[in-house]
Amino acid sequence: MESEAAIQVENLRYVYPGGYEALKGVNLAVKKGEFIAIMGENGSGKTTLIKHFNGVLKPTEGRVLIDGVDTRETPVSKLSRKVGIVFQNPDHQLFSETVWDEVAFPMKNFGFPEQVVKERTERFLKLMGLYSYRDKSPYLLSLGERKRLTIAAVLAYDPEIIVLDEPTAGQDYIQKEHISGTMNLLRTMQKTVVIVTHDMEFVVQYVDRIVLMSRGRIVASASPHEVLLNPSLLASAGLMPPQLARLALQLSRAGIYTPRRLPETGEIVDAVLKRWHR
Amino acid sequence: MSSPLQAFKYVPKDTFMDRLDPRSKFALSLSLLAASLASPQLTMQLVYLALATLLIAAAKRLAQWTPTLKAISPLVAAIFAANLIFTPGMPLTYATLMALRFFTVTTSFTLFFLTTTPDDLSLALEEMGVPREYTLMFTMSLRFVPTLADDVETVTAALLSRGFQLDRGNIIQRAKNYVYLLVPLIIYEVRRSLMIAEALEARAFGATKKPTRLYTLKMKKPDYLVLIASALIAVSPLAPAILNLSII
Repeated sequence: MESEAAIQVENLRYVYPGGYEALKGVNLAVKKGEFIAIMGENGSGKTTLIKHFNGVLKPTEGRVLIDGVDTRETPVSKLSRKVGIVFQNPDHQLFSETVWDEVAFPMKNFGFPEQVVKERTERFLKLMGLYSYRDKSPYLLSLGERKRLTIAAVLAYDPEIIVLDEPTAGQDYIQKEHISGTMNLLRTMQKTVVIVTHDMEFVVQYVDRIVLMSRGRIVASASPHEVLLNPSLLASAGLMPPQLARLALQLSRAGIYTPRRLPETGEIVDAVLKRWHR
Repeated sequence: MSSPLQAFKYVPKDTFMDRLDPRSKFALSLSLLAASLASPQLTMQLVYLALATLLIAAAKRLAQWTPTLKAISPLVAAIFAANLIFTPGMPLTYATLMALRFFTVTTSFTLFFLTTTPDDLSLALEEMGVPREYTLMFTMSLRFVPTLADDVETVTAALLSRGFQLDRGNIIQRAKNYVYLLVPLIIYEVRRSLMIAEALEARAFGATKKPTRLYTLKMKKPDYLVLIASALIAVSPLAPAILNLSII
């Protein structure tokens, strides 16, 4: 019987070799095709958690199942075919002489045919707006470009589950649009996506669910509307509601507007205008 | 991977050894080392090793010291075996002596590094007339050992995550695989050192030839006692001859 969950985390505890307990009993199930965001203050255990998804870290206690497969019993190189992780710092994950080789690298490791490697490398470099740099050294790119390059390298080999650690950090508006476009593409392809981010606006646009972490535990798991309109919950995870939510909440205290979900700018304007003309 | 390096990682504790001036501690370690190298008797080696171990125990760092002991054990075994095979005459005594000597030397230096902060160390070096550029280089290289170990782990994780197998292929292929690990590591560390250089300059490093110090070293009474003890240890290899003791 095939299990429904793409990622199943059960009572996960992780203690770093130095003795620091980064995860203190985490339970999480991510369904196939679900799009979730993991949020929380720095040091809450977000990155430690996602490193368990492809077995780079193995649980101290509890277990992690990827498509029903226990990560403790499967090598990372095999799990990585299913779970593509884009780590936070691009400099730690660029290995090749050229931008082209960088994207082709994992596909070669996984034994893709030559022609497929060529086609996909070209497609994903174009998608991330990096095709014109294909013969350059990855280290000559800017930080934002390097970040997009690591995203391209993971998407190109087509893993079923994609994990992105801070994908929008250091990206300007236009580049964020590039990444947003990719998110839409991933949605259409019905990929399972986990993003770790601090970017509230980005989260509201794409995710089905926010998992809020604080001090090695999951403190909430709900729709973006429920989480982002709950300031005390956010505060407990060291986060601030996005501007739009703060405005909506203030208007609600003034009795002008009662938000049930995170509003669009237009809805707020309408509510204010209605009150104004009354 | 990080456990043998633990010997050089300072963990703050408040013991007699920690409160000593780094210079007197250095003298103590150095005298133990010199005595161990100079003394040809097994008994004396045991005395020095016991002394160094006692001092580590007094500094409450036995637990930190054991991983180092484990890490050097194969090396000690190799030293023992080599001396046993290649020494003419009484190979067993000599091989044991050499093995013990290696333990004593590492233990006495572990004692120094376990109880001295890198900052104290560079202060001591500066007091001894080593230029600031070099003392800083020294402190920073110690400071970056754990950071480098972290980086190695991160890069390895990233490589594995792209389906790369470091232990794939024959020996030559495996050695080549490590190039993939080295490239990002070297580039990252070079970048990091450039950033540090900029940060140092931004804080006016090198603006004056002789900068003043927030902390200065001052020898206290226990330090003088330790210095005297060190001098005694340093001349102790002569003791059996003077006292006319016939020990091996």
